Amino acid sequence: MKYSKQLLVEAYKTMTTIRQFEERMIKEFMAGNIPGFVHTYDGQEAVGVGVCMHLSDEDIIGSTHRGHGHCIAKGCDIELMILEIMGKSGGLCKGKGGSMHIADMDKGMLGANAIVGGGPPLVNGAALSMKTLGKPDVAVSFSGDGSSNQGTVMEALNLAGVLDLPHFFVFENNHLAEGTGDEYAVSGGIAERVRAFDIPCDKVDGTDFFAVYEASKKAIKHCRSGKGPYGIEADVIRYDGHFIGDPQAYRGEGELEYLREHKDCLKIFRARVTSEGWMSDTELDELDQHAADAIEKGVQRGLAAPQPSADELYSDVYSSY
Amino acid sequence: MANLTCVVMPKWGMEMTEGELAEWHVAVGEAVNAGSDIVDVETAKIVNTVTSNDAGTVARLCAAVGDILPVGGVLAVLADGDASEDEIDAFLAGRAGSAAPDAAVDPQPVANTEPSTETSPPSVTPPAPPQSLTTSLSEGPDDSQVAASPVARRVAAVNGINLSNVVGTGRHGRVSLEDLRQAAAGVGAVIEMPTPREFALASSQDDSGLKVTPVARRLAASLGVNLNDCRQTGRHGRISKADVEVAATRLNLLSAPSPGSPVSRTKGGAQVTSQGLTGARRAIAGAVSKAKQEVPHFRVNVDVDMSAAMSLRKQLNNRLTDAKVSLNDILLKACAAALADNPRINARFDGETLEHHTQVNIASAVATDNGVLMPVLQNVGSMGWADVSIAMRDLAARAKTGQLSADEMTTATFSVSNLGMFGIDSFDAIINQPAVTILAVGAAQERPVVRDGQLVIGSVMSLSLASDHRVVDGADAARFMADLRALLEEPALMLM
Amino acid sequence: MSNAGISAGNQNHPIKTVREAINEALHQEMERDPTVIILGEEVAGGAGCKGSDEAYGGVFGLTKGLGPRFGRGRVIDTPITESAIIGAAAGAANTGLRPVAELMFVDFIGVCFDQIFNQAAKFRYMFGGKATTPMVIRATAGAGLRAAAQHSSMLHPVLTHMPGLKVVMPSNAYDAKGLMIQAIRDNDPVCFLEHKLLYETSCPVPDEIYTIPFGEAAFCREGSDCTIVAMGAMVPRAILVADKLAAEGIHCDVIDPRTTSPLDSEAILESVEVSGRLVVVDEANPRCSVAADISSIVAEHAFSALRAPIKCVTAPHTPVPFAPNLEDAYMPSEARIEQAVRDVLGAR
Repeated sequence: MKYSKQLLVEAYKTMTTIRQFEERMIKEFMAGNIPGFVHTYDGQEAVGVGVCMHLSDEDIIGSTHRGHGHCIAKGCDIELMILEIMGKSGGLCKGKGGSMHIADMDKGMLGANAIVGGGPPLVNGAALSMKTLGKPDVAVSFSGDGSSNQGTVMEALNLAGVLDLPHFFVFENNHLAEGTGDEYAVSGGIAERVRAFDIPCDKVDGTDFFAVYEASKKAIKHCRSGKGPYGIEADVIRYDGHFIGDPQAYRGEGELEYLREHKDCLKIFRARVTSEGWMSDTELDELDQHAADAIEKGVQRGLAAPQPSADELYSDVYSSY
Repeated sequence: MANLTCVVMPKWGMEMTEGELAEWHVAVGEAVNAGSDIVDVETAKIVNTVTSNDAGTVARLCAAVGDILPVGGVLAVLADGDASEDEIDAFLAGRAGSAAPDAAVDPQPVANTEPSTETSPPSVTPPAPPQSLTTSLSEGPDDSQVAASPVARRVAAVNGINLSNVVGTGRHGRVSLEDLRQAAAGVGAVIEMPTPREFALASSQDDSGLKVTPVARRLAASLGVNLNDCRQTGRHGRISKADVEVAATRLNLLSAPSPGSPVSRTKGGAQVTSQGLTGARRAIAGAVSKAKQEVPHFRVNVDVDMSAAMSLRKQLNNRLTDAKVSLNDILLKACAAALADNPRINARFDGETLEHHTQVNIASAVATDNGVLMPVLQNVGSMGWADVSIAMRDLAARAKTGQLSADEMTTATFSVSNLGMFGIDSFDAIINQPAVTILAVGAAQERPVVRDGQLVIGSVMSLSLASDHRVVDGADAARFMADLRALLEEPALMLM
Repeated sequence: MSNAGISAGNQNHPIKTVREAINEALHQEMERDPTVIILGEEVAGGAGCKGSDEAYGGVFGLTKGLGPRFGRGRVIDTPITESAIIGAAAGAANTGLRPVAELMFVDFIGVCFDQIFNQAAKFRYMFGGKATTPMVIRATAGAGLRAAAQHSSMLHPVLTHMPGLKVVMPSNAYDAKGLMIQAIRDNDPVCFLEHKLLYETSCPVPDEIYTIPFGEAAFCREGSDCTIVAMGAMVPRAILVADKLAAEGIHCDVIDPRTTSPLDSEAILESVEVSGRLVVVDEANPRCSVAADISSIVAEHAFSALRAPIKCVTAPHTPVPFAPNLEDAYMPSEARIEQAVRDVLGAR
């Protein structure tokens, strides 16, 4: 068997956790329990998990506004995430960041970034630290097809190439930048852009965990060995709107049903591992249930938790003033 | 019993608070699955379809097309089997009892009154009158290394406070002005702030480019006023003649009209003459105001039988050739003798320091064209009767012509004001600081008096002594006045 | 041009220019702490070219000698990509380095504003206190060199406005060295604005390492008759005016805040309590300037001490003009400062 049982279990467990977490966040949002905006990652799990399974707490990731999946894949505590998303005391950022700024420096999660294209320049910085301090770590930025048009991303690619930074650029092309398709908005192709900076970039089927896993392994090894940056463009889909509540009027007739049936990375994973005899449906169902239980527990904790105390308004602006 | 679930109005997007039902997609009795379309809802921004979270049979539709429900409001009830209306009612009632979704989903930020993370600046109090600081704050080792704000350091120096004695709570722990106030308050004192100065500055910059009326420019040139010092209240923002005059006045460049000259005008048939205070009048106004404000006056009054004194006067004037002794001169000599026996009265007090003098210098009120002056006759106690008379005349004459020396203006240890020449019965005088008392003298008048148990006509003069109660007590004043009366009623006592 | 009498260097110390003082601070801190790195355009200069390996040492010479001494691993020439530079500095600061990033002219902040305003300034707060961002952004600022509108701005009001940033504006070489060392050691993002006109001004500067705390104003002159607050290149002008007035018997406090965030409002308020008269000199444009901010603080907290209306002496509400006479009229002059002081003293 090519993949250890432990790896397969962890992979599925994390992906189903993300899927159910996001579906639950949608429910809680619609029920009025989550303030602000939420952007869910359901449909893209295979990429976040496939990449992050190669990373330790010392490796850094920078995420986008659609950051819950990356956060969970990087090992952040889901209960603390739920508290943060609900804006409650005890959240990962004390309730002061919310869904779009969710971060955990201890786990190497440099933060979800609400600014499109805001992440890659910062991840360059993390990569610069690692290189300067002689660490064997790698810095990974996640970007979408929307941010691939941002000047900051181009500048970051260029600087990473110029300085040979250990920066793994992961582009998750879910073919939608809010409500605009990449066929319209991206002139040329994303992988081609990355390659234009003399950075190798592979195209990957983002709904296939194993494809992502293998491509990431190659890329990360390249980065860790001091050869400079690497990129992948993963072809994925997202099920839900840009934000929760988005009626997705830009979807074609029957499009979402088709995607759920044929492009569901969890279903694809299940089909693969069961047909290969690596895992059984029962084992997978059990993992589904465990994830559901953990999420339920987290949601109950979140609903019961208090809001941050009033003096949190003033804290953490500066280290010292 | 069937398991009942709800379809509720969802929250689509951050701002949504309610939605209006547009079109039902199901009817009662219809079976639905998770994800089935239930009803179209229209909000301010979008029209979207509410889908079911659960599978079941539609048991009740809880609202009609056109109804507006808040987020969380129940749209429909689903059952996984048969349910009676009562069961549905009970279910809905139970739902309403438990808390509806928190209305304050987006809580308002807590209003705060002190948002600053910087040290909150102290509010300013106007400077209080200075009082002396105890030496407990003055002593200490060299404080040049104690962290203090520059202003606090200056004010501490002026007030004789050693910074080592002050707890610093300002920025980075330095001593602030507020900390100095706290330290002073801790010993019951108040710090003295430097008195701001007034300025009448003349600009020296080129004023040729300013907009000014031709008349104003000529006037400014003739008076030597720089136009930069003038306001611009003329038309189209020009400097006018009035603006130049105001500036000239402020800068004391105007020769006529002077601020002290009276200006007459007629108002409704009556003439009004107005002028500002200058020179001596201004000084008098300042001095009496200050004395009235600062000094707690109290008065001790005696009526003196002046027959013996008048008798003495007659005797002296019969003998003297070059002088004529007046009752006032006799009064001055009697005061000097009384002061010799009551040293506490012969004193000067500036509000902080009390000086007792052995030499008696008496100031007498003299009326002049510019107002009352108080020239001082020095060392009255050692002067002869004729000398007092001659000296007083000379002093009064020179007061009227403005020829007094500095000592004759500033060395009084006692003051006398005599309005007897106007026939006044009695009056109160205002203390002539820094002397601590003033004697107000009325006319010697024919009044009924009791002598040896008999009612007779005597010559009586009312005397009123005003004293500074900060340093003179009632008994002191009373003793002095009793002695003075005794000396006047038995002048021979002055020889003792 | 000497700035004698400004601060605490004394005659025993060698005379250094602002440029030399800052350069020395960078050398000393990079020597002491291996996590301090420099990034920016032409900070060494000559990368990828055939000529000198340190073609510039910074276009104004501020980073001279650092590249040859510490190597291109720690003194990093970058492409002209401000958002990449500042973004990299912010990310590196969060992950173990203490970067000193150069924004060649503060006017270029437009292209990297997000990285400063939305990212670096907000990390600590958004992440609930877990992120620490010890970075310095050095930027050349101010008018006076005929560099025209897009190379002459004073943007300290914009930066001061933002919570999470600290803003430093030294007015002399002694302060520049101490404040730069403090900025590098500070654990928050610091915008260090260097005025073009001050680079070659000099005063005594100690050779040893020293820091100047943020939030403490310097009193360049002391006196009770009027309070003059001035910052950056306006400080030497205010001092000249104060000295001229002193010859007439008028003595002013000349207060240089040194840092506009945090601001030593306490020192300013104490001075106004004594003098009752305030003139604020700020090279920024008048709307929402630091002069307006200080005036507001004084009016709110020391109103009863004021004996005359507050006077602000600022640039006009225009971009910086190119023609020399126009640029000179743009900047608050000694004559305008003096007139403002006379106005508040003789309030007509």
